[in-house]
Amino acid sequence: MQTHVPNISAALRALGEILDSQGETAAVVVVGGAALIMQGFVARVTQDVDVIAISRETRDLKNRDIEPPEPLPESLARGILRVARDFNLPDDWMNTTIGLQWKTGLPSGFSGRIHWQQYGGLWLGLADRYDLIFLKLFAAADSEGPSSVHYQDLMALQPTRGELDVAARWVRSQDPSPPFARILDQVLEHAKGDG
Amino acid sequence: MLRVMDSIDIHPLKESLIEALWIQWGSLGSLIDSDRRAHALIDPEALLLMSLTLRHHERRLWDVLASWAKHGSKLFSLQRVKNLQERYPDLSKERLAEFARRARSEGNDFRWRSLAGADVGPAARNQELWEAYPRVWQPSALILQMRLGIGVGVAADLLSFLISLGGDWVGARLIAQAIDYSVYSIRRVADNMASAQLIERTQSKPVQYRAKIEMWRELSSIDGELPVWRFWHQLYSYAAEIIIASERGEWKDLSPYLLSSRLRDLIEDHQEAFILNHIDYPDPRRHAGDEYLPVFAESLGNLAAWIKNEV
Repeated sequence: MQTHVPNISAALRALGEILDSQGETAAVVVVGGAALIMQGFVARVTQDVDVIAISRETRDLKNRDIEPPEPLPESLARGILRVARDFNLPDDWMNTTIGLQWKTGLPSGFSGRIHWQQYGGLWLGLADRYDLIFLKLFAAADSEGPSSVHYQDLMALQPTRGELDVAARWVRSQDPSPPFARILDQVLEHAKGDG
Repeated sequence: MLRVMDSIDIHPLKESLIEALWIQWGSLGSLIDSDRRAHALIDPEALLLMSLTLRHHERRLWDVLASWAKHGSKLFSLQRVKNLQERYPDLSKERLAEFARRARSEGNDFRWRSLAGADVGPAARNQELWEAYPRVWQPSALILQMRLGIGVGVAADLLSFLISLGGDWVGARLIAQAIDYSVYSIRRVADNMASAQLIERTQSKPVQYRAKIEMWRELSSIDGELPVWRFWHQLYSYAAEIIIASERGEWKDLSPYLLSSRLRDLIEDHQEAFILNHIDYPDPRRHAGDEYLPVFAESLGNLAAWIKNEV
């Protein structure tokens, strides 16, 4: 039934309009492909918006506390479903699967580097490039390695060798198993070679 | 600057509805100037509710309604009115309470007591626009003719629906969608009628029913074409919601996207008006966000044309 992939920005604007029309606000922090696209690092399309955190503070932009995204506020969850219907997106186009990352931790200083944008009643926090390097390196090693879309995204962020080394230390802390370490080394080797 | 809601022109729909209402009231024997006769069966309760909804557009509509409240209220099914009114805007319900008040006080029809409000509504200039049963019944007035002959209730409406299908078999669920009684009461009445050999029923499941067309054609004095069935109450309640929402300015401050989302809600809630009447309507899933607006506007024009043709 899908005739074309809708612009994810249009879907986010629509969500902000819905919240605004109901006198509601919500603040979500986004990582993954949507965060790269919205900051112009990549030009591909995506139907997924990965929410890693939410904030219940909607006034003080600089000192917003963030927390795990589950459960999403009810008005936000309803709005997500409405936008899914209106843009013919999957019901989970905005999802909190990545929120599991809180179990092992986010990169240090993550919340202070978030870039906040306002779309009507929706505050959209985009993870900083520095944190995206961490998360994309982890995702690349955790999936098919250098052949994955995560690796392509990582390279689009143009990480320096220094940034890769710092990110690698954090990624190793997420999964200390030897098989994972081997894949991570492969990814790093490729990244440093390609970079 | 053109407002977003100005792109949704409801006037053609309103005009074709008003024209359809006059044709239908005229076909029921009301004393009004309307040369055209309806060829689709008239749903009296849908006609009543839609006319009440558009009362403010044509003052004479209220004169006709007041005439029916005074002289013809007994031919309406209270049960159906109560069921159907739930799908109409609040404005329609408020006006129904005024009609009910008139039917109760001026028509001496005590059945309307439970729906009657405190007010009788605007003064009618003429309450004699429907005085008595017509000398010649139009085929499209079959439901009223049946109700007059065998009483207001499931049996009359069921028979009218079956006759309009020209002898085609049909199950209780579709009958229920058409005449808006419960599937249980339809089965009970239809089974009794089949036992009395007034209609036929299949022996195997799913059970289906059909009219013995020639017998009923003769009884109801229908010589030519049988009136066709259209699912007016589904269509009218959809149209009523659109017109009242637009007239009340509910859409005026909405952004293009929010308006498109509201319109999707309407289509979702009233899909069966299109499906049951075999009216093409644009699939909202094919048009993301506010791209749906021009498509919806076009569908309103098509709907207006359909009503003009099918009434």
